[in-house]
Amino acid sequence: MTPSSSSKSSGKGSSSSSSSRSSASNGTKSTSSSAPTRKLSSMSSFQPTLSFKTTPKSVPSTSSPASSSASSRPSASSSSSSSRDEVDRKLMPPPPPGTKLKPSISPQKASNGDVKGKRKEEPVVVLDDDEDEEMDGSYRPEEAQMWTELYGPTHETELAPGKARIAKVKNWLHESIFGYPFDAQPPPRSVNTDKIRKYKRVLFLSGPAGVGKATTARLLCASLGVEIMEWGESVEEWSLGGGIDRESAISKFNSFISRNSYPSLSMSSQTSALQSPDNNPRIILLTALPNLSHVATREAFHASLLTFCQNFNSLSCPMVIVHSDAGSGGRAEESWMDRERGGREGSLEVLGREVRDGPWCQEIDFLPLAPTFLNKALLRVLQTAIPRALDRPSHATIQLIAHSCNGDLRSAINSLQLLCGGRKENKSKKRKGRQDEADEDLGTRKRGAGRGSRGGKGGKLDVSRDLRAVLDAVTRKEQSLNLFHALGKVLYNKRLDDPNMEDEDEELLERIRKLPADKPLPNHLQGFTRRKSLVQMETFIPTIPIDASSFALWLHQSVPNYCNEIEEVSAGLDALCSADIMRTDDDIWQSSTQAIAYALHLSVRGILMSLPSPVPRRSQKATKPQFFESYKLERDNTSALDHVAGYITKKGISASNAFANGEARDEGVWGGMYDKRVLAGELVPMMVKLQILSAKPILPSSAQTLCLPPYSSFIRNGVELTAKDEIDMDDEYEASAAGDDGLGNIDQSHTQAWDDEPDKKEEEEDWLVDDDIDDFD
Amino acid sequence: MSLWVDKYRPRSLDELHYHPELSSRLRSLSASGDFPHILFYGPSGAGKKTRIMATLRELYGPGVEKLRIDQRVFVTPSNRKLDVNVVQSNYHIELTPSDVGMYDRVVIQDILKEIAQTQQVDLNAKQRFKVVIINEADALTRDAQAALRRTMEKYMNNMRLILCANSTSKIIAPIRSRCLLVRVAAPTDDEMTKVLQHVAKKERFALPTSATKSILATSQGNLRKALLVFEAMKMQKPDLTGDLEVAKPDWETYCSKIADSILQEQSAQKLLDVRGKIYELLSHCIPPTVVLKTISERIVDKVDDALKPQIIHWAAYYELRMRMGSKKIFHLEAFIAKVMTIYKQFNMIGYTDDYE
Repeated sequence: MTPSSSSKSSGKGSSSSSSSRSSASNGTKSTSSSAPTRKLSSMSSFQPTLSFKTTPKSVPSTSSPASSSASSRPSASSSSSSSRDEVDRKLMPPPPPGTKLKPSISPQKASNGDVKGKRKEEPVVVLDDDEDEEMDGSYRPEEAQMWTELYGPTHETELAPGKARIAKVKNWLHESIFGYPFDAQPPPRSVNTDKIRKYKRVLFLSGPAGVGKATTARLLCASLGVEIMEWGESVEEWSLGGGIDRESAISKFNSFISRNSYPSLSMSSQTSALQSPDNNPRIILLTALPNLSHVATREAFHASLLTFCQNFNSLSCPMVIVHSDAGSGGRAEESWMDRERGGREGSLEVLGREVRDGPWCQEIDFLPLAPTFLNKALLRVLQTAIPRALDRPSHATIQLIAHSCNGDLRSAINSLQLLCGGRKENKSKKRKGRQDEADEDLGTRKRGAGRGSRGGKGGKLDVSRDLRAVLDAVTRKEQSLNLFHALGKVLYNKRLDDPNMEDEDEELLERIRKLPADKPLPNHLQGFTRRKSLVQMETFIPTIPIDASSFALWLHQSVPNYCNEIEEVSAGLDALCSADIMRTDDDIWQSSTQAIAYALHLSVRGILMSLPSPVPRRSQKATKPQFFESYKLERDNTSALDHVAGYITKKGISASNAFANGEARDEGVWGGMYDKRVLAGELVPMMVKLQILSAKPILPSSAQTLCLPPYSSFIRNGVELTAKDEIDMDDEYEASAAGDDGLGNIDQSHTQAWDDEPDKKEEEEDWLVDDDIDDFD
Repeated sequence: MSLWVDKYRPRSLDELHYHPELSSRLRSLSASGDFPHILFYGPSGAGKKTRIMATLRELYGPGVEKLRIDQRVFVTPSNRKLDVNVVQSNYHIELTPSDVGMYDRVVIQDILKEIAQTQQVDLNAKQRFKVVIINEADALTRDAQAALRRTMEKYMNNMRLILCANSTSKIIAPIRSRCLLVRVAAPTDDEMTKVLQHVAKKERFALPTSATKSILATSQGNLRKALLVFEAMKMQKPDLTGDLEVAKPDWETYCSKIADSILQEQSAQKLLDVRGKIYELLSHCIPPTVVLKTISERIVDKVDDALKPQIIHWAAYYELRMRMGSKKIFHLEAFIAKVMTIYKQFNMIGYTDDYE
């Protein structure tokens, strides 16, 4: 591509980009002379090559657009020099920008040129096209990458997760590296900051995928001037060893940790690490973990984490583990049981008991992002990604994406990118269609206004049906929106000839009117006569976004709100029970798929049958089932109960031994085990009572959670589904998460002395404030 | 501080307060040298474990009181590791295999094999065999019970089993036939009074009859509960006179309040209130069947006689379905909605048969 060829075919708009390219190609006379084809085709053929080369690079780090565009080209060209280079391409540092070639793309150029040539019939349009291509061409290297990486946040304020959480992470990082909180005054040099640093070894960031855990960690590290040593999937060393002597993942991990636990020694020019450890602080970031489902690997991993925690000196660097809760994505094929396995057990699984319960480790749980937060983040990305406001998709689209991605920002941005890519193509290819599109947009908007859409809160987003379909295809994750609608469809129990049917879809009504009339029921079954439902099961069932058993839970949570009389509730619940008996969830691998389908039919049809028609409108809300929360609590309490059982047994045994040795102590002399049911139902509740009455500790503090709160003091409001301004909700969450110090809110009368084992650690905070272990020497 | 339940637990067969004929039988069995496998069964708090421990003491002497706790690790075929706490002395080992749920068979097999293949090392031991106590035998899976059955025959030389269960109905027939069945019935009111008086005497105070009555009424033949309630009441009101508030476990208070609210108003809104409470109970590890039973008992206490059979019918109906299903809350709530419906219709139109 010589300068002359580019100026020949392109318009004025291209001049800046073409000049830069020509200067780059100056050093490579051979290829540029052997490429007689026109430039516009060369660009289009260049794209696939580029994107292929850049993707592997883009995985490990968030490189800035500038550097990636500089480095991606050389790697493309250097690969052609020899076959061995091909293998090591990933590991090779990019050659300096002067040396690149533009090899072997001429044949493609020629062929593509023909294709392009066909478009030449309309000169004006082609010119336009050229211009587009040209502009795109200058952006190409960037577009070849994911927006999530190109337009990631660059400042703390741009991070999507809630502020309280970010502050927590930041404080932790600061404390772990410098030994004092971020906003505190640096202590005088005489104070040994290692006392705090010693107990800030591992930060465990958990939460669903795509909420910005790793991004937060990286950005904060960068803002604190910390070097990140990352262990992730990109760490592949097999190519060096020729693939023969492969290290196991865990031993690689171990050596990685021992290599990187300390800042680099003074061999590198800019540091003198020994004098001032803070000079070049480092942090280990784990984004991908070894295969923890394999027992041996898991144990080795736990052991190396423990060693990492225990080996501390003033030079050691802390570790941040980023862990996405598996299964919280809410995919349809997983049951609630699997989903619940994320969260807390996840951290136990990853960290191991010693590390998690030890003083070194802090867990910070990220929540799925609220749509408002997503909206903000998406708009920011869009502003940087598409400079021209006109090219951007409408706000409604963004809202729809934000709503449909289930709090996963990464997937939201990806869908946005896909959508925008698609849009551009549409525009350039069928420009004629534009008029229609605009008409339709107008149409939907009008319809939305006519319906009195309230926007945001519960109102329907005015997005054209086409767009919705595109989005469905693009995102494939439209759960929470559809869940809301699916629930609404069932719970509002709309039937033919309901009053206030104006805003129903005429087409649907027509279709249902055309269905053959039901045969009249005999007298003794008159009670079951219903008008035709607008919910046609055949079309409805596939649109349910979650598994049958979870859907039943959602229905169950909301059904009483939509009923008038208790009889209706009773009938509805009976249907849910019958569906539940089919045992569709706890042994999901064994139950037959038919049973699941039957159960779903039974619950939906049963609820539809039992609901009054028309359903009273009292602005009912669909709320999240309490079930999940309760289930989690139950499991926590079960483990607390196990602990109490162990405690009681131990105490009984020591008393029994004392008795056998003749030292009659005033202790229980029962050495044996208690039944769990007896413990939960009789012993522990009564012991709690006795403890309160006597003010003498007889139970360990882990029994605290087993106390029931006073009867009437709590009225739990479920967490509402999509509607509502989520921003308040998220703040609420944040507040409760921040104020929660792990003990829950037990009322004051219960927080008396608890009989803890002497070796049990105090709360972590206490440790950090007055830990005097170091002062002994 | 130790609880009265533990402090005044009889340690030998002679100290037991009730079932004297059972005690003498156990004594002669221990002396005979031909000790069988035994299955102790009876309601909770009747004194099964106390009798087991006393029998062991009779068999081996005070050495059985030197206990230690062990955590054993078992590996399932799928390579999952299970931790099981085991209490043992030189002569016996006690375990609760049902703690590990469906993997109990592995635990049973491993432990029994281990015990059975080692001979009694203590030459001074009175018996040549060791005793294995299996708690909650009725909660064992069918597989585990089958495994048990085989070992019982095979290792009779070195080992005796003592099973402890609430009822024999969930124990497979082959095991029942290989064991000596010993029923430990709940103590009668008189026997309970005797025990309470005994404790009061040891603690040096007089126990008024009114207090005894209210304790007996709450504990319903469960001696452990009676003693716990007794101790709590004594702490609440040291003279135990006048108008006593019976100290019950919190969850029982919950259940009776739930029953009250069911009878107070029958509406969807009330059901939602009740739902919150039920979730609270379930999340505090109160077994759903117990919740259902307690609520229905409280309701039966309060409704018209004509309704009682129906309520019991529905309680049974939903309990069965609850066992078959997996989400307990559905069934508990369906029961409550049903009861509300029945009660409402009874109040409006009088009695109608509704067993459908």
